[in-house]
Amino acid sequence: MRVALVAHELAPHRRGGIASHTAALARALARAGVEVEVFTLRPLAGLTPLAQRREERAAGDEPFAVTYLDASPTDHQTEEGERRIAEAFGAFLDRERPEIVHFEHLLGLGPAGVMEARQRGIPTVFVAHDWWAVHDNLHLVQPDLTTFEPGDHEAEARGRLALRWLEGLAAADRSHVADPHGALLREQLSGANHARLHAFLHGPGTSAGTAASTGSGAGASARLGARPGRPEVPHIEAELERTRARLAAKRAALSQVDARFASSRALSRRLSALVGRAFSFRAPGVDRERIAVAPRIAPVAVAEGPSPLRVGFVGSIVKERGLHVLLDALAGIEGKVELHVHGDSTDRSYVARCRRRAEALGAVWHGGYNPDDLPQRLAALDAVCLPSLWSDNAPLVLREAYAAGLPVVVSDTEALRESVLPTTSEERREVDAADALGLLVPAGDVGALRAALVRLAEDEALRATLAERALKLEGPLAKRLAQEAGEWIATYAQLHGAALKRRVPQPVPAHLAGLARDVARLEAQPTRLLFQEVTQGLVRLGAAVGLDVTATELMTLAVGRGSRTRDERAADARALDWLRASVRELGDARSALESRSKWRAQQLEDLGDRVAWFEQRVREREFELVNLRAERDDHGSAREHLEEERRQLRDAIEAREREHHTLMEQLDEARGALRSLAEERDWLRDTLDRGSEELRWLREHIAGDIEDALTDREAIEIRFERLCSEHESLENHELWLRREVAAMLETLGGPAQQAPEDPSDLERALTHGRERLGRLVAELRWRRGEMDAARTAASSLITRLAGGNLASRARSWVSAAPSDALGRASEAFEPPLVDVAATEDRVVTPMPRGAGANAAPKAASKAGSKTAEQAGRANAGVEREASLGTQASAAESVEEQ
Amino acid sequence: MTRPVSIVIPSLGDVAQLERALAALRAEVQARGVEDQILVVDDTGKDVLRRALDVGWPDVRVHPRKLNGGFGAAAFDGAQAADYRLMFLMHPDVIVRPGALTALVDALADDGVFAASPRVLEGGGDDRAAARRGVALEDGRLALHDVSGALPVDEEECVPIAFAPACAMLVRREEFIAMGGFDRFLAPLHFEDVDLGLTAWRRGRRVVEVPLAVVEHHSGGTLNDHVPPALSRAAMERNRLLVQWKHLSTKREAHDHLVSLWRDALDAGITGRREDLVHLALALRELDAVGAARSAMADARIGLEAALALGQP
Repeated sequence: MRVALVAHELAPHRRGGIASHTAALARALARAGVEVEVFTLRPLAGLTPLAQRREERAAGDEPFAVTYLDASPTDHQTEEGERRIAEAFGAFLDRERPEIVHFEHLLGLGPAGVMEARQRGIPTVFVAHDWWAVHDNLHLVQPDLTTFEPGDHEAEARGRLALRWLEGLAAADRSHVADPHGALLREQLSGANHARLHAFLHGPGTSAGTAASTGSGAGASARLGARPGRPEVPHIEAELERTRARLAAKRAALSQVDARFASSRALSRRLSALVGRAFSFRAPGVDRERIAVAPRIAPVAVAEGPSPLRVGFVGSIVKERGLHVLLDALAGIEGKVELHVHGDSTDRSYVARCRRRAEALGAVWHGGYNPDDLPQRLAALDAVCLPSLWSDNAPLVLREAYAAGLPVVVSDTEALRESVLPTTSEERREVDAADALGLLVPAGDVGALRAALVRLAEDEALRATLAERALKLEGPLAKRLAQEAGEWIATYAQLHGAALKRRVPQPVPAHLAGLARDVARLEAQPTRLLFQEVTQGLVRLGAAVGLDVTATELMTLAVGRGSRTRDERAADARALDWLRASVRELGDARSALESRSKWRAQQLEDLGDRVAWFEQRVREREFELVNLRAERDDHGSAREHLEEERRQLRDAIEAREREHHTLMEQLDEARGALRSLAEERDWLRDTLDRGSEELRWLREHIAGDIEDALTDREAIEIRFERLCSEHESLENHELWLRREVAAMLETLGGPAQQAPEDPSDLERALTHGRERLGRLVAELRWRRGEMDAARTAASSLITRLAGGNLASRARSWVSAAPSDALGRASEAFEPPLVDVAATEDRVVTPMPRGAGANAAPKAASKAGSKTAEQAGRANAGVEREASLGTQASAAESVEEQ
Repeated sequence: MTRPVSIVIPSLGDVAQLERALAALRAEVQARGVEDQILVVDDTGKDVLRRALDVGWPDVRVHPRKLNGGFGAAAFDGAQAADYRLMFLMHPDVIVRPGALTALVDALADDGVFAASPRVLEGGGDDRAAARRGVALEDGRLALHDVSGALPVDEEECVPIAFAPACAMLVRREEFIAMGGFDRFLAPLHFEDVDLGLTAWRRGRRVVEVPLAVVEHHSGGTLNDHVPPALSRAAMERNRLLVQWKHLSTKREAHDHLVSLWRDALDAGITGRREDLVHLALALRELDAVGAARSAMADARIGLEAALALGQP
């Protein structure tokens, strides 16, 4: 079976855990019979970018091949770079035709690498050793060496932006910031910059000291990652969006992987949840036998006391591995602990800083090592310390230390705990568990680390116990490389078998099946093997056709004759020249367009200014228009108000005019009534006078008539009867008068009373009526005064509200009121003075109402010259009788007014 | 008077296509009036054509094969099963135009003619759009090319051609059988007819095209429905090499050819043109068969280049 083993780094050119393990696994697989083709990235000197070179490592019985793709460590950090690398990987797959692609890591290739394999129908395996599946920040370590929770993509985005800021600082002042290399120590930043970085990452409300201490693993990470109210950071949304898109691409790619694994249980749990696809736990193996057989190297004896504990730091010297914490812990216990540093990295400034510090503390700096030398290096140690600041998943160095029988002191993180407390249970266990393989200390806790080192140095029995456990270890922490290779081979076989079942060849007629089979077999071969078969066949063909020319000679002739490659290259060169010329022309055209564009831009700018000026003018006009509209509305409201007032005034004036007119009519009626009353009075007075006159005439004639009576008693008796009749008529008339007076008094508002019994009472009643009329006239005058006052007020109001012509017109209406006429009318109401005393002496002859008309001619005939006058008065009295009711009503109206 | 012909049609079971060809053939046979034989070789291996043709085509005889063996094997079976001395071998996607058979038969009256080919109108186009392929060596490699443009359009005389296309050719049945039919090492398809023509020429026989005999070849109706293009291309390129290797007859031819192959192999290896390497490897796997084929040509009178020269129109 041919397997492509893919990783971004490979020993011995790189010495990280992935690099070493990939190389070791390739050997183990090859030893088990797998045809291994490793694909890895590495800068290749003198070659064109993305060139690929294959080499065969055929040492011993573990041959495997490596194809290096020329790529710098930063080439994959752009989407374009990653895509090109993935395409080159696709070409590798086409060339090498693996049956399985095993991704030990996808850094560099990215999600597109998975898709390249998938497109070719090749089964794939992915192993997670860190957080690549969900974060580009593989160790979840921020630039200030704090950590964040997996799945916190905002933290990752902030960290990336912060790192760019730090790199900007480094570019501006290299001596000050040095090379960030992903993170900076507290002392590498000025106070201000550190505070800024801290606020950038965690928010201004957090304690810089607390956060920068890196806390203790997942717990601290959780606190920092979950902190709400992080400050707004420029471009964070775009960066976050990019981070999420990246995660989506990874999820999509990983969902296409046929089998997913993680190197620790903790990681498999977390990734299964975050990616939404199952990650099985598969522990890495180490070459325990090779390590175990290395003879122990005793410590150099010291003159006094026991030798110090030889503690080794073994592995990549990167900040997240916490060597600086270990060096801090070493201070003060140099006599008890002797630190040996084995490792190196590309973080040169950190390595140099640690080396200076280590040498100052008396530590032994061994530097980088060849993985093959690891057994000897471990043999010279008493313990291994791994003070990682991140949740290191399944560090091989711990497994290698156990193989060498060394106790360990390790940061207490979720995954590292799993490497110190061997158990198949997924429950967390106590540090001092009976089967613990070392001491756990909180990550970044210098004091705890120092205490643990001292404890281990002073407690020889503890060391012996831990060493014994390590040597007798079984299970995932003691997995051998061969065992791991066997597990992988089983997985490969399973996936390959499933893939074969999935492949449904296109049906062809039976007579073509053989040919189709032959073609398929050839297609499955790597290009190099295919080429090898062809060249060998050509040699045989030469022999078959009787040529006695060697293959070398034929190849020489072939190259000399020309080749399609050369032709194509020449064609490509011509095409390139054409393209260059086109590019030049395009450049010229672009320059011309840019010039024109600038001119256009200037024109647009000018137009923009003009438009802005016009817009400003429009805005001003609009503002003015708004004001004018508001004023118009105000004026409209005022005009409506004035018109309403004018309507009200006009209505008031009309009402006053109507009232005035009514008053005038009532006044005229009252005046007429008064005249009638005066006439009635005069008539009554005349009637009384005539009665008196008649009485006097009767008295005079009675004396004369006595004699006549004596002589003409009958005539006398007739005359007496006529007088009695007239008397009765007068009584009736008197009674009528009384009723009339009573009615008139009632009409004039006096209390209902009976007609006076005698003339004096009538006179009194008339007097009373005159007084009442006087009061009415006085009241009329008062009302006229009121009217004048109202007219004056109206005139003033009109002047104030209407002014000008309207006021003049209004005044003219008012002035047109017949005030004088009113005065005159009121004067007409002045009751004529009545000589009461004179009237009291008069004898009023009662005149029957109905007999008035008849009596008058009789009286005239007897009274001589007075008769006509009396008759006229009697007629007038009858005529007045009809108008009295109307007059009384008019007078009543006047009184009410 | 013309001679009767056994018309042999190997078929992969496309009845509709076959019936179109048979309809034209029936008209031609009736016009000829000599009781030509129509023999359909059922190469499906499932004996499906007998029932399909039983009702409407009582004059058509169906010869079923037990296994699907490809065109060459079916043609050979048909030749053996046929009755007349002349055999017109044709694809089921060929429509014979009136008079074609008689003209071909007339051409074969010349004993020196091994095979007579009608003018083949690819896709049924007009007479001037005939496809006539020549064979030549280009850069040491056997290459087919269209030579119809170099021919007069109103010719009536027979024209020598390198090979008679397998889609329509008239041969003497017994001679065809004696040669073993198409060379089996070229199975399953492609270049069998080229090999047959070159073999004839090298043995001193002639192959001619008869302009008065016209057929339409509706390509695509034969194997394209059954063979993936990549596989068909692989078979063609493999057989192109095998035919040339069989007929390489001089050291100079072999030398030039080997140099050409090496150059192509190097190019393909360096540039990763895997398909070229696959075709080469496929052919090279048949080297033993090539040796046998070359031995069978021991009686050849002329070499490859001479044969190709004679076969030029």
